[in-house]
Amino acid sequence: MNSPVLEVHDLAVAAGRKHPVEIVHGIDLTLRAGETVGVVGESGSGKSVTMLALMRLLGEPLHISRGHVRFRGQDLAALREPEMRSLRGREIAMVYQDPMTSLNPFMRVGDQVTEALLVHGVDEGKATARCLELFARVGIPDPARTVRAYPHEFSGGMRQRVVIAMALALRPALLIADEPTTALDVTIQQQILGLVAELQQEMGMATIWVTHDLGVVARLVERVVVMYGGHVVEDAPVAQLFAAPQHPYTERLLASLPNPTGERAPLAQIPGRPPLPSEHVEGCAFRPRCPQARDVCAMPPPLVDRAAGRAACWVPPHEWSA
Amino acid sequence: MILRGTLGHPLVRRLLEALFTLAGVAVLVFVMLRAIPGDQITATLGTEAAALTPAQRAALETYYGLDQPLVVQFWTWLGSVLTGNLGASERSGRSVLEMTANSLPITLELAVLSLVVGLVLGVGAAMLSASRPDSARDAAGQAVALAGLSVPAFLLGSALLAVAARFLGYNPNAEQFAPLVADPALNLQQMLMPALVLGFGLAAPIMRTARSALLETRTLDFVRTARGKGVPPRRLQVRHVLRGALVPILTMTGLQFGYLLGGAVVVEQIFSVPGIGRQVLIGIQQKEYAVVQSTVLVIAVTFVLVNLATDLLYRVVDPRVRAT
Ligand SMILES: Nc1ncnc2c1ncn2[C@@H]1O[C@H](COP(=O)(O)OP(=O)(O)OP(=O)(O)O)[C@@H](O)[C@H]1O
Ligand code: SF4
Ligand SMILES: [Mg+2]
Repeated sequence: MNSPVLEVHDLAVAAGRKHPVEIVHGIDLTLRAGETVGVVGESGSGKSVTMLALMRLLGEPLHISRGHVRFRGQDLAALREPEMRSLRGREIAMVYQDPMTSLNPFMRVGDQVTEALLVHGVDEGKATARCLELFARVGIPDPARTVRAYPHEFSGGMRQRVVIAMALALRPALLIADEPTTALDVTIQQQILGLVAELQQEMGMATIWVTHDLGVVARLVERVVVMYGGHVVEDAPVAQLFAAPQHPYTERLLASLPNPTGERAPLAQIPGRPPLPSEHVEGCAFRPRCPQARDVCAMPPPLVDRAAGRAACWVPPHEWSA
Repeated sequence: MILRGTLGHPLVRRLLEALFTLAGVAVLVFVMLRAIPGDQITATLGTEAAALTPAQRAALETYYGLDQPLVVQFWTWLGSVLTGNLGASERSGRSVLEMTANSLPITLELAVLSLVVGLVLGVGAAMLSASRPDSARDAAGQAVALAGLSVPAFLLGSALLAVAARFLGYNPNAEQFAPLVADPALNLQQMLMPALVLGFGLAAPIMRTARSALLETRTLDFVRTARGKGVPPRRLQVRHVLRGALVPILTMTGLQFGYLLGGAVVVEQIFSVPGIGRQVLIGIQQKEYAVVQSTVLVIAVTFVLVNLATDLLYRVVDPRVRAT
């Protein structure tokens, strides 16, 4: 239980080869077997890019520019493509952000799930049977008929169920769910979150929940990693993070959460916007928007142990001005 | 309600559209022939028509129906065309229907073979090019495609024939043409060079379209999903990338069918293939107006039908269209 399934060390992603622009600036992240971790950050903070880097699915011009991704003892960042391929879908699987585009529109949904099994050597008969089983398990009605449907005949929620069935077909050790519900209606969101959480417990796989909404994952994860501008700025157990955030950005994120009546405190919005990868910020990336910024922040803050977790900020909470 | 529902169906609409196009084609062919100086009498009798007395001329006009109003003439002509009477060659006396029954299948065979050559070459080259964009391989592929676009069929055809016949002593096309059913081996040999020439011309635009469609499809989310499942490269290229690029490739191929029919006229002439293109050319050379008129109509109808077939193919290729 305590041995890490995934150990990411100093992982950086850059765009372009000649004049590379760094997008993710040396991420550290550890997951133990069966652990659930939330990765939280505003749009553009590099969450998807990091997750795709873990799967080695970055498309041109993005590429891993440094760092290690140790998965069950192997460094994925250094693995040859055929070996990486045999891990994808079998050991590490992903549920994507937009179910409207993540399925092949020309292929029957059942075939797309079956394919996930076939390419890893499951024979045709077994794959077909398992596909029906999976459809039933993820709550798609009438599997015998619906496996023959094409994606456009399905609603967004049903498509996401197909993607989930595909990801879980081989009971991977690590599941990456990259904002699996942002593209869906609110009611459907809850169903899908519930479904993945249930399956996660059932299969005991380590899971990374990516979201830009802390409220969504609070109940689902043990630990939260907060990203800002391509950096990890805080990493702490969820209770600790909510009770005593160690980074001003986390504090602002929590303050902007809707209160129990569902309203968002309008003043808690963080003014400004996150930096673009092309904009170089001297020192701490959050400095231009940080209410606690001071001179020392002109130097990049390291991610250091703080209380029960870690944070990258020069100014500890007891020194924060209100 | 039911009628409106049926008429609203895209398939029904497409069929009606094709019918209208066909009607338009019929009018056009009819008008074109009336617009050409001289009439059927002049065409039939040649210079002797000048020697006709007004009475003789009137009698002939009545015989050919030329004294009737144009609209009546059109309906009479359309009626006879629809009942399969396409007129006859004045010279040989053979009916155009019979001539077409022989020549059209030959041209269709040539078209199908050329399409196969064009698709295999074009899509194959595109897949090689797209697998390494901007590499030497890509540049070579694109250069060949450019050549295919710029070398006219008559030049390529004549060159091929000259090289094969003179230097290799191989010219199956010098022999009497063998229909496919009579002598498949000789027939296919005789079709080889013409199909290569036409297919090469087709391959170029197909290659360009396919290359950009493949490059675009590669970046789509669903291809990434497939990679995320662990789908190996070959399967990925065929089942996901090529499959996703099929619609634009099909569209381009359908558009090229007009080129194919036009090219057939030239290529059939060079390689002595007695197809429908050659039938038109001979008709023109021998001033056989009935033959030209009816053959042009047949070609136009074929073109409309092929376009219709292409549209129907979309429904097979794209399940999203099938649903509507
Ligand atoms: N192909 C690419 N080329 C260049 N820059 C890219 C590319 N893809 C993403 N980026 C940049 O990387 C940064 C991080 O993007 P990413 O998609 O990881 O954000 P995210 O945290 O997942 O946001 P969201 O919540 O909107 O999904 C963004 O600034 C984006 O502009
Ligand atoms: S290091 Fe400075 S600027 Fe950055 S978050 Fe901490 S206080 Fe704000
Ligand atoms: Mg994202």
